[in-house]
Amino acid sequence: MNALTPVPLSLLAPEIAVTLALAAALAVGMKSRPSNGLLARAFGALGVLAGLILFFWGPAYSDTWLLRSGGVARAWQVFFHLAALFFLAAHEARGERPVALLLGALLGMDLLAAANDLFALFIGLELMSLPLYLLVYGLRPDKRKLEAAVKYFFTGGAASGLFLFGLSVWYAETGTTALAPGGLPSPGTSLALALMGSAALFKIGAVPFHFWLPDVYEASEPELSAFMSTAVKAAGVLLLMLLSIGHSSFDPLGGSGAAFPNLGAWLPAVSAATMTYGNLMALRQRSVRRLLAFSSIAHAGVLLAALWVWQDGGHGTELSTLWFYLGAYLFMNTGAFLFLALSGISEVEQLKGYGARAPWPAAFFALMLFSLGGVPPTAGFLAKFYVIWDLLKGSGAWLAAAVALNSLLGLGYYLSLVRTMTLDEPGPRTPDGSFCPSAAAGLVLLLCAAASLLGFIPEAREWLFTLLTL
Amino acid sequence: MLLTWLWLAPALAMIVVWAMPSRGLARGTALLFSLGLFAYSLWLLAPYSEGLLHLEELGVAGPLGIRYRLSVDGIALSLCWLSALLTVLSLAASWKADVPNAFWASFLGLEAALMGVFCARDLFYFYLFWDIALIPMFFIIGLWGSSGRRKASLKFVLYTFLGSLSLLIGLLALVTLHHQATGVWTWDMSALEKTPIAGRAALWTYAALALGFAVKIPVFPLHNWLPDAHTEAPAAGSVMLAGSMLKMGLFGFLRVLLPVFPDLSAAALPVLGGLGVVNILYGALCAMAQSDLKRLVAFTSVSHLGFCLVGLFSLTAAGIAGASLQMLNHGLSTGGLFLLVGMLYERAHRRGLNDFGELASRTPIFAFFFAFILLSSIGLPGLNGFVGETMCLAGMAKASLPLTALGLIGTVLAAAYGLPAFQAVFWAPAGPGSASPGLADLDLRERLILWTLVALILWLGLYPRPMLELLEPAASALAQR
Repeated sequence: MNALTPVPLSLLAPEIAVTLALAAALAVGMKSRPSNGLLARAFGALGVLAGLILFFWGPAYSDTWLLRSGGVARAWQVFFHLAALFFLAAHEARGERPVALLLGALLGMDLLAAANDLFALFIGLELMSLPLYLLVYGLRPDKRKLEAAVKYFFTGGAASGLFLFGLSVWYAETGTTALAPGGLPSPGTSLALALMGSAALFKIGAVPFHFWLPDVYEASEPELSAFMSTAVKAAGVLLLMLLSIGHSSFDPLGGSGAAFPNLGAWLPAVSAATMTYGNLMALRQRSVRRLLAFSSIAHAGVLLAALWVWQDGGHGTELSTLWFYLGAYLFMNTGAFLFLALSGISEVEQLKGYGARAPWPAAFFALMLFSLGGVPPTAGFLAKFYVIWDLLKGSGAWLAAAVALNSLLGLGYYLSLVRTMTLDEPGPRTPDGSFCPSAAAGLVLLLCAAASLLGFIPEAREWLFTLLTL
Repeated sequence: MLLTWLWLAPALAMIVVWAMPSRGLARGTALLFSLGLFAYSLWLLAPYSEGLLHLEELGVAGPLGIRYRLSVDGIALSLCWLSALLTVLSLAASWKADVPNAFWASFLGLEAALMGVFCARDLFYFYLFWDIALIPMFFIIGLWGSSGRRKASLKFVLYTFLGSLSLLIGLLALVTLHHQATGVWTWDMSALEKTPIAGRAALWTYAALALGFAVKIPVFPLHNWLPDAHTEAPAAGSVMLAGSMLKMGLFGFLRVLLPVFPDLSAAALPVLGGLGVVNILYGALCAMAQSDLKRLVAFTSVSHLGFCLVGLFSLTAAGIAGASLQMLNHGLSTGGLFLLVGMLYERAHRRGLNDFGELASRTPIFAFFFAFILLSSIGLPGLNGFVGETMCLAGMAKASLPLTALGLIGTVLAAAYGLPAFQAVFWAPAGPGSASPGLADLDLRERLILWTLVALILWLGLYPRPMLELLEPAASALAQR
């Protein structure tokens, strides 16, 4: 495994499929006539789907010095592909460029999930980030987008720099870049991990690396914000997880135990600070997009709590709490942002009385909000339920209380959105009830609604675990 | 499936009613469904007496130990009746309201959730139904309440959600502690009851659970959400809130805390029994100070539920049976008072104590019903409230005499807030700004609704034996632990 043998190409079949789709999208875009980008989106979706199938087609598990496939890596890759599919289904803007950029970012995420080496990790991170800067800038940029993209680019660049610096320190201390046990912790390795961990926290949008996030989410197209808040956030969590426990300790095929010295000593504090900050700020927002951006910070805090439990030793089947949370969040947050995209609403003011104008879309949005707020019987409730339970089983009773109190804060603003939508009279700025998703976007909406009703099935997490570790 | 239908039928009916093409049709279907469910809940006594209602299970428990399980004892069954009855009465009382399908559907959804809470035998599903009940009530208050509804609905949900979260943590801790003690994951209440857990962790768990239930009842320092919610809710919403939803908290004490933590419950007597007495006195004193009829009734509700708490924490068979009976009584009499105030408000669009006067001569039928149900609420011997309160206090007398004595004062205070209110509305001379002139008396529909209540009040007051025979086995089983 340590010898630098070539990685068999068959292992990369899913990534190759995505790359081909990327090339196809670019090729379609080369013709001079302006197009609506539908063909490129179709190619993109095909490639992402093909990749999804190929993940399951290939060997159940394999491990090389640079990459691994199957096992836990595949679970993450499936998640990223789903998020990408949702974006492609919802993205109605013209042009091929966004499709190609998104596929590029997806490749980076796939690589991140499969990385077995810190360099592979870094390449994945960069491959994911660079297209995103451009995606935020968008096709028809305005001042706000420009500001957001520049902000994102500079801070993101700094985060990459931190990661690279941390990697160098790590290499200097240990003489290896393999994602494998690093021996006894020393000041040097601790510094290295802190630097690399900061980069991960940046991608997650955790306090104190959150400041870019509200501007970027508010300025981007809602479907991009959905992608960023789910896939990119998940990539950050994945990165942090790889840094703190590595692949092996919980891979279904077993492994060599903790990969790195404990990175998680400060994780509970960051988690509590992140969720509290996100919720408190969200309470004061007048823009729904910005509110959802802060709410995504709050959810990132809970995700960190779930990650902490996981790496706090794991408790058997509860390994999948983090996945379930991410999965539930993927559906409910995509649903919420998609609603904003399709209804053309961005200010809370515009929601006034929307329920009377368009009952079904409003009911859908309310369902998403209830799920985000963790009210039974939604998937969001179940996700929170698992996290609190796992925290109580471990040594995190105070963090469990923090999660619970934060979910009360969260319900405060989610519910007041529902209230504005249903209880208030329509105002002058309330849009008319027109809400006509394309077939693909409609399908995503239905999926989101269905997934958000998972709360009736208490063993849903175990099902998911079985599904992902087939 | 016998018990499953209790919640599944109204849940399905909710969808049907929602999808009805016209408002009139939705209203009729909803009332018909609720009547049918009430009949069904009565019929359940037959299989219950044959011991067929004890357990309904579905599937097998997974690695989390959660399994769909329903079962009722006499107390739970009586609360199911009460919820079904109050749903019928609420819908009938709102008959003339011009409201969309969603109104009628919300009540059925609420009924489904309540039935689920009262029947659940698995704590996960108990909690699931517990929280689901919040959503329809949020819309009932928020959409069809009076002027302050925007604020009251949010306050109601957030406040009680705080209780829910505390409950959730308590339940999770309980299950986890049970696992530590036995090595088995289970959410089954009957399994949890068998393994007593003790120690510091148990104390915290008990506190978290008690806090969760206490918010719902609500117990004294946590009662702040209740007056607003009641005042702003539509009359039918207040009936369901007071009549059925508040019982969820007491039911939680009865179903979870008493059986699982018998020792801690005995130790908690001075605290929780004491808070019950505080509830009795504080509620009564606050009621005396109100000038809004609906707010007054809301505070009497705080006072009455104090009796239930006192009865429960006496941990005697008589006390627990009395508390269960008092839950029913409170549903009938407070529910009835809310209906009456609602009828008055529907006519006059006012409900201040001093907005009326001389109603005894102008609307004699209304006055009769009001007096009757008020007296039942005050606890006049011969009517239902007297039986329940006496049993609660008698039970407590075995446990703590000082608390009993203090509770007795509450029965006197009840007359002190009830009778002056009656005087002001019905006997006092109508002032110049009075809303009394021109008020129409009750029509046949309203009289039918109230006669139902009066009949039940009389039955429970004069011949409570059959009902007590239903409640007592469950109560003494609890008391023996």
